[in-house]
Amino acid sequence: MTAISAAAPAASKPPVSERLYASFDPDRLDALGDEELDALPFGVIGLDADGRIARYNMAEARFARLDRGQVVGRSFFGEVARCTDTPEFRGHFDEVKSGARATVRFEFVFAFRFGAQRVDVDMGAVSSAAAAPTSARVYLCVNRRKFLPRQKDVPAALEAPLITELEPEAEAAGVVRDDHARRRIEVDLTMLEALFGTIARREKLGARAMLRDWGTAWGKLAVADLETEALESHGKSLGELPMTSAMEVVAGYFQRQKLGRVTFDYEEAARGAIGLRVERSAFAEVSGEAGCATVEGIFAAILTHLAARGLVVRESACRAAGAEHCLFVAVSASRMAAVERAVRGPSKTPRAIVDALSEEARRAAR
Amino acid sequence: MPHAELATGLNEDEARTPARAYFAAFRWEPPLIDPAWVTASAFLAFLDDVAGEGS
Repeated sequence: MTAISAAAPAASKPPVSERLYASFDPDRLDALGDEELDALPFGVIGLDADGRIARYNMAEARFARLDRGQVVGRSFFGEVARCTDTPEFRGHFDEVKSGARATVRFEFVFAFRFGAQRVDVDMGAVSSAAAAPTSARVYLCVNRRKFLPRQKDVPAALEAPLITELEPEAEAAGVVRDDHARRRIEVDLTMLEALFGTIARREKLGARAMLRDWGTAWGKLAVADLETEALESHGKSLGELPMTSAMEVVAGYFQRQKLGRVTFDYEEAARGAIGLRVERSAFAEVSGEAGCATVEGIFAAILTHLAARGLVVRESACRAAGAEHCLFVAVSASRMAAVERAVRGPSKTPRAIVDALSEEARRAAR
Repeated sequence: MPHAELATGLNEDEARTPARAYFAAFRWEPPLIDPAWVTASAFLAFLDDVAGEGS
């Protein structure tokens, strides 16, 4: 097979916040709701004029292994990120807060007890005209560059605290957290079945669309997890890994959630499609075909993040409809209508779907 | 092995932009895209490139 290498040092790429936004714009961040901030794949922190944390998105919580509920209202420099209480970092905060500079970008190393993180920080103040929506006055976008070992020369008192230090009473109250400080609950599949059943009863025709939306939101939140894992295990962002390695990370995430075993089929890549197979999909087993729309959304969100282009995922064969495994095909969003026509009817392989897409394109060209 | 393939005139930057430049250069044969070598970003962006070319 012919091959190209796309390996490149991470430092040559602009930070992900810059790739998503033409320029760093604190006013725009301030106008976003919490759910929208949570869908961003980089850390966002909003500080009030005193340096207390007013806003803290899911990606930052994931990378810092802290719970938003536990950090909002606390002093950023004094309690949550004590390693930033330096003349340099504080100086930047004072500069942008006072209006001496609109925005500033600098490199920094965050010191956590579980390891250090080299980051790029974009910092800027909300303009007074736009400052109504929240109490945040200064926004930080934090782009992770590299995960490093714990810094031995940083005194423990200056390292960021672990979540257990911020909420010492939680364990006694029955709060269980995973290794990344996220609160875990455990529910059996019948609860998922009840959810899907409720949605289907309420909105028979729109159940797939609704569940796909849920999946998309799920996938966007999963991106921070996946990017963390890629940095931890490979020292690169997910998109910079070879496709097969990146998809192993994605499949691992899906399997850790006990949702089924995922494998990828790249045979039709040259014709603009990849196939996904999910064995023993929990969604198909509890909900019938509509539940697999959740899987469509999860993968579409992850693949779209990686491609920085719109990609859609549609199911072409479902275990709930008698197929051995659930099969999905991922294509450009520009082919959404065509792929939806192609997947209708009996089970089809990714190849059959791509054949149908090609045939339709040929007919349209005539 | 992958770098040997680049000796055909694509510099590394072009090859990183990757899929479109690469397949433009190798249009005389059906493109094969190796997921073990191409980055996930480039690989998935290529799916969109192909759609844009009306395949």
